[in-house]
Amino acid sequence: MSTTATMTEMTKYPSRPEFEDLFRRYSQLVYRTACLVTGSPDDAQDVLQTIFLRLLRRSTPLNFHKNPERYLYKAAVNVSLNVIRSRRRHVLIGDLSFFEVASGTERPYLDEATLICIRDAIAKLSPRTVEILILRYVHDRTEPEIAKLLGISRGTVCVMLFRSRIRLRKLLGRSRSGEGK
Amino acid sequence: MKPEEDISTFLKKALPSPEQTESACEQVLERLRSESVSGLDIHNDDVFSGPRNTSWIPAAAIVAAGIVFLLVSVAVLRDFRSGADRTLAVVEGRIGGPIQSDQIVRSKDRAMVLALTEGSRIEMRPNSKLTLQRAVDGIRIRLGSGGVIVSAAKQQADRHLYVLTKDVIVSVVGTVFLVNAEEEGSRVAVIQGEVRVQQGASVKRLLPGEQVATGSSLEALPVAQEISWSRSAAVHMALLQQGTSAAAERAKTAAPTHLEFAAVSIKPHSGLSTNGVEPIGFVCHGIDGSRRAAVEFVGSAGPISAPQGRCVGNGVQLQALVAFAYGIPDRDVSGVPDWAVPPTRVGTLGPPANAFQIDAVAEDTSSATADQLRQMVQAMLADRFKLRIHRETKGTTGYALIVAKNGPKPKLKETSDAEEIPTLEFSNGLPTLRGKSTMDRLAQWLSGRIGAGSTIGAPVVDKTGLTRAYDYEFVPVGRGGGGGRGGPGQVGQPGPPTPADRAANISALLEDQLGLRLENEKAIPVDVVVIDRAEKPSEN
Repeated sequence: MSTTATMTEMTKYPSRPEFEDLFRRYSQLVYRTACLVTGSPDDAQDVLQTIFLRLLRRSTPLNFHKNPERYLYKAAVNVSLNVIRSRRRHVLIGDLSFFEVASGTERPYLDEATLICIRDAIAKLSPRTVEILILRYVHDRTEPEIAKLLGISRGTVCVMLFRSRIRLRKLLGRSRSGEGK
Repeated sequence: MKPEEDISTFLKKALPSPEQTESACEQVLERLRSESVSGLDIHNDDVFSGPRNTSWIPAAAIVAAGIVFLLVSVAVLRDFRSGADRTLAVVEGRIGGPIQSDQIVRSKDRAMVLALTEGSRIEMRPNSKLTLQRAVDGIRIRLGSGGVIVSAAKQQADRHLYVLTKDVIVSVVGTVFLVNAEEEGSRVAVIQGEVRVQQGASVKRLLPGEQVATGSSLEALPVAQEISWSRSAAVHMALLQQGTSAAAERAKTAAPTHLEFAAVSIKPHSGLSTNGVEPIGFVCHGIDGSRRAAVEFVGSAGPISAPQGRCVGNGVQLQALVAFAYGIPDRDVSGVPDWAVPPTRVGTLGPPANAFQIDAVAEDTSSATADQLRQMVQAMLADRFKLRIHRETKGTTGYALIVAKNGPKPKLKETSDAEEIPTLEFSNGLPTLRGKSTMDRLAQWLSGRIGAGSTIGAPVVDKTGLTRAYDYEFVPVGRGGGGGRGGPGQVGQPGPPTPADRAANISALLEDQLGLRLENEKAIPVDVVVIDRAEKPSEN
């Protein structure tokens, strides 16, 4: 492919029908992945919106058109991990005294313990490990399907699954017993 | 159970149901389709069709040159493609031709008239420039320069016609009005009906014959003079006369209601040390909720409270009372007499000085609203404190609330529910801020002009361009290491946080969670109250 052709391809935006088709095909994969990683439906919607908004606003790399599913899935994992990791870096704001103290009813702030366990454990894994784990155990993809989607060998998938399973179980065990912190 | 099944079961606990997934995806798709999220017109093919084609420039030049002899030219300054579905208006008269979304329309040395497809008409003064845009809830007319007279057709439910200049947003549902955009500011006047004019944090409603100018150097001109250039000036004048006489009639028949408390008790505060035991503040409890003074200290038994239909204050000072009564932050009250200035405190919380204990009750405690009680406080100040004030508008620096680069986040949900000004609720020691309002109201709350709490401590104007009401909530936690100086638990940091610290914190929160942020804004016009006279009240 000539340089000109490559440049043109790299700056291509999806057409409206293409965009809608992409959204219909992959939005659930992105949303469910984001739900699992972030543990929050609101954050998952945020991730979904961010990723598809980028498609509208930015040029997409060549590899997007070759394998949109891979691109969108990896984006879902990475953006979701960014969300939870930035959340972990947060601290309580310095001065709350300037907010009104309402007398309204209280609502539970924290999600249920299970979600917190999962989110904490996932936040400690590498993006690649999270990608493989979720494809295998949440989206029920087979190892050859994972290898094809992520562009890696089947052997690598098997080895990473084995290691990540051990690590995840260890992290989940720690979280459940409160040792994880 | 196999280990794999165990992990799979565990992970899948965090997944939403297929119905929830589908619903969430549909919501996001709708937002992506809407202009309010993307800032792009998703219905506009150029968003998707690759790099922008700039070959229109010579074509536009040729078109413009070709129609110069008609004295009025319609210059299309952005990419355009024909299509009846994108036509928002047509130019009336000999020149004709469709006007599409985002086209820039210029009138040269003669007035021109645009007929919008939804029935409204826009008369453009000579040498004016505007753009029509299709919004989610109607049509926006962005007036760049010059002037327009808009005869707005009756809009369908939930549809609005907006005129935007660099500093005001005018919204209508069916009326005739004019807008002029000048270098120094904007001027809006109403010929028939009623319009809502939003300038930064302030919103005004104008009736026939009334006008508002945003720049201090803009002189008020008679509306009749302002419309003299129009070909329909005689028709507009007749409408104006009808409208002004009807308004005068209404003003005559509407008897002014003077709201006063049935009984008021005011005593100097005892001056006993509070030491955090005694709540300090002022609150009015109406049938529609409580309204609190901006600054209060929560005592060991909680914040100060009032029975329904009453206003109760403890350790409250004149400046706070005036600010409460006129719905402005304490910082916007000036001219406080010496006897009412609190002495500078040394050390931590001391006894409130030059302060009062107040207990006031409305005549009908079962019907008084919080706003009526606030008006009764004004009457109480005039009666017991002999308060005389005047209002001024001053320009000051502050912040603009804008949409962050990736657009509003999903937590900002459109709503048609009744307004709920933002409030902070605590749960498990962590705060969550919730509200249902327009972004203008959120900006007012952030600046401390509504609700309680000084929030940022500086004026904030809404420049999000989001005109609908939203349901939102966010958790006020800030980024580690950024801002938050001097807050609880941050030992060794000097002094309380400055407005800039607060704005930085809030901006980060807003961007992370709602897709909004704050940026510095110069010369925000702020209405202030100046105390001309106030006396120490006699005790009763």
